[in-house]
Amino acid sequence: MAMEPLHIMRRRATAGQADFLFAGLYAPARVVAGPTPAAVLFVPPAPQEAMRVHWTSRQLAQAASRAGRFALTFDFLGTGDSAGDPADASLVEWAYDLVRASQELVDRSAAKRLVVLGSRLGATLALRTLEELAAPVERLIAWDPVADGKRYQDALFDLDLRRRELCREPLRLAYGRSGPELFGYAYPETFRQEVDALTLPPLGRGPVVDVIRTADQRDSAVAAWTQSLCAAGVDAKLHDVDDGCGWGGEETYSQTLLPGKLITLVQGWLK
Amino acid sequence: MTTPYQEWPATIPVGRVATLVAVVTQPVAPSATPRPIVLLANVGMYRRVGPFRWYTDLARALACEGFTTIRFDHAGLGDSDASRDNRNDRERAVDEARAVLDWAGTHARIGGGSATTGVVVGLCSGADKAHAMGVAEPRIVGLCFLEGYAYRTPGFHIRRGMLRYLEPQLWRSYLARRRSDGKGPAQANVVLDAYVQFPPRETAAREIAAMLERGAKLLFVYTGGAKLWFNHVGQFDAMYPEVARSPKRAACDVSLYSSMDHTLSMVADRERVTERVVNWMRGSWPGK
Repeated sequence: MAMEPLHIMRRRATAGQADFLFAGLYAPARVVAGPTPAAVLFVPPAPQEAMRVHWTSRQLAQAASRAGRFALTFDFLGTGDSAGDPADASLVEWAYDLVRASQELVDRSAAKRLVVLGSRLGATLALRTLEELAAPVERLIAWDPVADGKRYQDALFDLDLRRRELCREPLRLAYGRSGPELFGYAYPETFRQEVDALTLPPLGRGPVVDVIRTADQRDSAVAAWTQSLCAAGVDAKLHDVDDGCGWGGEETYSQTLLPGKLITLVQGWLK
Repeated sequence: MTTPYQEWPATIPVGRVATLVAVVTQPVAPSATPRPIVLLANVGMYRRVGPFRWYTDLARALACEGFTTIRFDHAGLGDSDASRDNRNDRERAVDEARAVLDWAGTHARIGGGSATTGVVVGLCSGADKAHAMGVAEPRIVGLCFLEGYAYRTPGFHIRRGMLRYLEPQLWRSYLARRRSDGKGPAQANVVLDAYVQFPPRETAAREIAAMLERGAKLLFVYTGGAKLWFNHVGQFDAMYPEVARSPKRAACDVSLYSSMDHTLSMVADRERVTERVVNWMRGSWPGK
């Protein structure tokens, strides 16, 4: 179940510049009888959270491989091993990245359908990009999707201020707070404006939608949105999972998440 | 716009069963002078991009100065396969550094064929592994330790005893605890203390002296995250008098950034340390 690292070439939507995305392809560890199973695409959250979910993505990509599926992880432009800087962050570019990653996965796997697993900002972006992906999505797993971009960002900036107060000298707070920076990453104002306007979209009938809320993110807006999907005839379910680890906490903001119950739950869907 | 570096993903075999996932960052125009390859690997459980993606930024900055960098995941971490032996992390790290240098030495895209030397940059637990690599592998010609080993000295205790009362955070914590009936905010550094395990001072001193003796160049960078063990640049010579007396002492640089935190969690801090490392590399292994 070794990962094959690769570059996905892309061209910036806004400037036409040639760039690459870093991606990891997991090939099936066994052949499954019958039609090719849906390939699994992992959509990361924003960079300050992406480094926390990497271990989980790896576990689930390996589980998909064991189940006979192709799986692909990737880094958005300006994050991880991909080209660019965090200052390049843009939801327009990231939506394009998502489409390019889905195309690469379909090309390499010959899968006719996709399973998409997105976390936080990545979940909401995936929901908003469903129609543009390279193959129909049979299941979308949204791990703590962002229901209200402004509320999400305000909470992150508050948390960032608290963790700076905890680990830094007050004199440093004065200038650290002044720059467009969040959790140690440059955070352009244009990106903040894009995320401020982000909401969960309505969906028509199509994929099964599994929404996972973890212990510190029991967002009632996410529950209401899931209910609205059900009312519209979408096969949507809300799963509350308590793994004892969450996104918040000024002392744990950079710790790797080890959500065992969530992994077990999702592994069951990938079999 | 084009970048002055090129980057490509790679897999590096190590032993018979494991494969390391790596990213190679190279200058577009290779240096005419053979220069060491910089090795970057995991910090704790973070994957090879490092905390706050610092290693990606550092690799690209070094490539702009003509250095090739290989950032890789140790076996079982990041995206690399797990190793199937029962050796400890330090032993495995040495084998992996050798495998990466062997691979680089034969890879045409990195100018294979010539003897390849390396410089290891390690932060926190990565500094511990870097030390092990430097001790065991003579092809390692330079090491940059971020929060490397440190040992309290009499001077440390005197400074700590006096200076800690000048720290605003101490007073804020004290006042917060008074206000909240003894349940004020914890100091992050106190927690860090529990994770730190240094070898005996004599062992570290002997090994550092041996690395200098064989011609290696060393850079030690400490931050405020190490303030429970290290609080003055001059403490280095007090910690290691054997090294201080060595004629090779000049090959050993020490910097202290006491206002920075352990994982360099602010952009400006990382830029400053990146500049320090790049300048040290440029000065130690100048190109033509």
